[in-house]
Amino acid sequence: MEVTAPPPAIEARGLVRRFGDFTAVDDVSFSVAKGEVFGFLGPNGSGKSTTIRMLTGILQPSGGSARVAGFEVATQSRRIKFRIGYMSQKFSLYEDMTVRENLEFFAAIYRLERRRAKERVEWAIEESGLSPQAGTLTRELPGGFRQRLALSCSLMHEPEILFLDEPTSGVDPVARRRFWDTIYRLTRTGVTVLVTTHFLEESEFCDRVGMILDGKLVAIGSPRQLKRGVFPGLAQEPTMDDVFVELVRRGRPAS
Amino acid sequence: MRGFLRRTRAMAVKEFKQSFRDRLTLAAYLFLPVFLLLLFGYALSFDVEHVKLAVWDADHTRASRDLARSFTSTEAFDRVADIRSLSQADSLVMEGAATAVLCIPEGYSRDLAANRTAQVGFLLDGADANQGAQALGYAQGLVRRSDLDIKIRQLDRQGRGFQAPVETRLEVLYNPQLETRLFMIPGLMAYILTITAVISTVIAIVRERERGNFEQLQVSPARPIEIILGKLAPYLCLSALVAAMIVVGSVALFGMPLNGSVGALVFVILLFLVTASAQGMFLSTLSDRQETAFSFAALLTMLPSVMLSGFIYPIRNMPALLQAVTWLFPGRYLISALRALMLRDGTDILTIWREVAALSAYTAVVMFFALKRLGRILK
Amino acid sequence: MNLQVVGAFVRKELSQILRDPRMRGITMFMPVVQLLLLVSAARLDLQHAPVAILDLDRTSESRGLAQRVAASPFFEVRHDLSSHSEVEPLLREGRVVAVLEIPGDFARELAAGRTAEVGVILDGSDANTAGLVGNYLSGIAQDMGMSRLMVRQRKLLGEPAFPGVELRSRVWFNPELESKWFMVPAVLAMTIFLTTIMASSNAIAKEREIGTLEQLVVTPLRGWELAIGKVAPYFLTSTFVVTLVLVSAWLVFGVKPLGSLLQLYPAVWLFLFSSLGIGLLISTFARTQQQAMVVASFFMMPLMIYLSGFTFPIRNMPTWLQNLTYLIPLRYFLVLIRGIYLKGTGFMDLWQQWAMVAGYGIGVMGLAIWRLDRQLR
Repeated sequence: MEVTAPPPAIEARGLVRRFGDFTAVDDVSFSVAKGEVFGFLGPNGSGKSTTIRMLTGILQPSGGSARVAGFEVATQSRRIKFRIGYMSQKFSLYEDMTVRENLEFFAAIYRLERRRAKERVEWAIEESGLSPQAGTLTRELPGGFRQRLALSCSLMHEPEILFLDEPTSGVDPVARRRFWDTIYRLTRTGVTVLVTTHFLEESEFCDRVGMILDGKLVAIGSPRQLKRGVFPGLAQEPTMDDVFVELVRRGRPAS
Repeated sequence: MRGFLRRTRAMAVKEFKQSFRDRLTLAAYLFLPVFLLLLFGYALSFDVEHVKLAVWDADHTRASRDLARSFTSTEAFDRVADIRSLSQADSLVMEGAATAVLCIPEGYSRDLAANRTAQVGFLLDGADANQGAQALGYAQGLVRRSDLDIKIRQLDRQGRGFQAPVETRLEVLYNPQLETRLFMIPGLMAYILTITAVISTVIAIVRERERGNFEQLQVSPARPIEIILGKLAPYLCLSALVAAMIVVGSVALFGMPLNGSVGALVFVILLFLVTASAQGMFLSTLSDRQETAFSFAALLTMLPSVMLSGFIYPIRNMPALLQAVTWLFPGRYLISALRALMLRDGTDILTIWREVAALSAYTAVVMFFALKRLGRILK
Repeated sequence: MNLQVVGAFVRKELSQILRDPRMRGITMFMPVVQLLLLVSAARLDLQHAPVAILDLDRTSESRGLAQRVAASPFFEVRHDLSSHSEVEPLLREGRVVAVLEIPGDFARELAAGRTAEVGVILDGSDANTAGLVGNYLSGIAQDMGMSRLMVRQRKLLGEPAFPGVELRSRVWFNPELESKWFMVPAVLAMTIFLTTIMASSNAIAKEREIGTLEQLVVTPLRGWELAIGKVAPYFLTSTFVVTLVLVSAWLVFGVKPLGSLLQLYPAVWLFLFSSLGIGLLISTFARTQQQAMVVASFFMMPLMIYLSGFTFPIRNMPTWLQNLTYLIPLRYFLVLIRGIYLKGTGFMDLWQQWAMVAGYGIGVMGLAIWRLDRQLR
């Protein structure tokens, strides 16, 4: 029996982004299935953030196109906005407002009806364990709590797709673990997650991984596929670190 | 010593690049003095000229026309309408189409012929008090002149050959043409330098605080004094450049004289720049948010610099309490020093010793507090 | 039409503004302080101008003239000089504004029926004051001459009648020609204008600088929702400030609007559209807060302050510049607010100003919103 696969949640087709004569993203194409956790790995400045910003509509691509949640990014961005959540590297929170105020604000921005907004805000506070800090000003929160708050803010409207740009930078390992637990719980409800990170160990948590180097997608697949692909027949399982270093070595002649 | 210079220079270079990489800011700093100089030099003045005058001549005689003409033939008044009734006058003034109305009643020349004193009405829109007072003064002067002429002519006719008993001879020392702009340019200088030196310092320091970059500097081997000096250096240089532009520009374009000692002029300007920087440093310690610090700085320095420094409105006219308050604004001292040094002959550093002393004392006090607070912040 | 979104934004902005005690102070109370300071300071009329008298005649006539000068409220005679050499140092140091020189033959010339000439030596560096001083001193001297002439004539000819002209003046709206009536509405306008432009120009630039703008772009927020949300709080705070200022002006200076408040507040609100719109527009261009603040204070403020008729009358400007001032919303608002305050003008009298302020506001705000919308896509 023919089972047609559901359309991919995210589809990038030949995305290009130039800044002047510097090409930050060079012909990147990939797709992410619904409910997947997809990781973008790569060193700083490799184009990960730029790609994610093109997909979320923050930046205009210089070339190529993308579909997110079934809609074209270039022409139907409005519909997309209701369905996606975004968490930026800087956590983009209002420092001079309290935890609760930030949540309420984003709930309202996503046009949640008042009662629903209240529910979601309470849920977020519970879920992220921020009850004792609900009335604290954001600027007084330590990094780990900020991260939880930023994630909660991006989830207020129960998006289908979550874009996370380096969500674990500047956060201790315990908080990182907790974070990934949260992500898993989300994916079990069918949320698609696109994550960028330069912590290569985190790639083990992803269903599939894309490696970006100098703006180009040099490898894509599940962690296991990549390891086998790069180090075929190796007895001991290599780490993603090894995979990456090897790819870099191959990609850049004078390493 | 060499380390000190090198680190300070490094800070200065970084600050320069940070601030002026965006050309808009640099352009603004340079555009402002040029623009204001041109504006003040060519466009703005207080002179009572072209006051819109409506004339209500109910007499229609030669004498009444002469009187009306004596008003409108001066630059002070522009005849905008001839009216026939008070209600017309009313509506013109309400709309702002006329500012004053000259009313010559019927019977004006009859009164004159019968050797009586004729009364002429002058109605004035008092909304603009400054202009109104001047216009009224002008009108009174014109009528006084006419009155004198009429009386003298009468005496002449009676064969007594009288001349005006008392005349005044006006002699103007310093700024003989009474050009408003020469009076304003020192004030303009103080205003512009306040902006370039104070505001830019405040923004620079607070921007760093807000972004959290101060922490990096705290850890580096640079000492607070080097950090601060490095931060101030580009703006000081820019301000000095702007001051030079203003002086040269006003001399070249408007014939601003440099009648006093040029050395003293340079000295007092540089002293003011130091004072302004000290002010900026102190103001920057009041908040760690750019928006707040900037608002504070703008309201505490820019507006007083226009209204309370003697730039436009003479300090002498202010109530005593307010005059005391003006001691707090360094712009006041710069303006009086500049007016003395530029417009009056034979002035030198001794003439302005009071201003120099005041600026120095001000700098010392403000600098002390500023450094104390900044030092605490940087630790 | 999502008012909930706008409401959330307004709440956010208000809490940010009001939470910082310094911002609170600045937004609310600075304007009142400014009002008090500026209205007291802004006078161009002559008051106790310091002068000196060089009386080379020392006769009862010359002393008579000196007394008239001393009795005038416009002057304060600080020094009584006895020789020419004292004149210049006094003027050079700025200790007096003018010296009245009464020549040694003053009384003699008067007695002989010839013209006696007195000299007025002015310090021209304060051009405005010098002009006024020159005029007033001349007036005093001429008056003295005329009254002596009339006295003489009466002595010689009994009680002859002389033709003459006298000026009867009547001043509308501000009989004492007190500058405070003129300044209060102007300062009100200026204050609102400055504070709102500074605040709104920072508005978007700040979000951009701290990174939250990016977050907002991802949300379905629309340009006009953002604009209104950012701008509405200032409507509220400005209304509060206007009320504070109105009350203070009345309590301290006894100046209260002649026209109706029902005209005043709407005029203020319409004007706020313009000033907030301009600030917002600047904000859409600025990349950093510094840029926004620099453009607002270096370009906008001087332009608006000096070219709006606030201090310098527009009619004195060259024609091409006068035409340019049509682009400045403050110009119309000043006429409007002065009209309402001082003359109690009706709506129809100044309908053009109303139209211009409204039109400008809508235009600028519309442009700003359009740009914001584009940036949020």
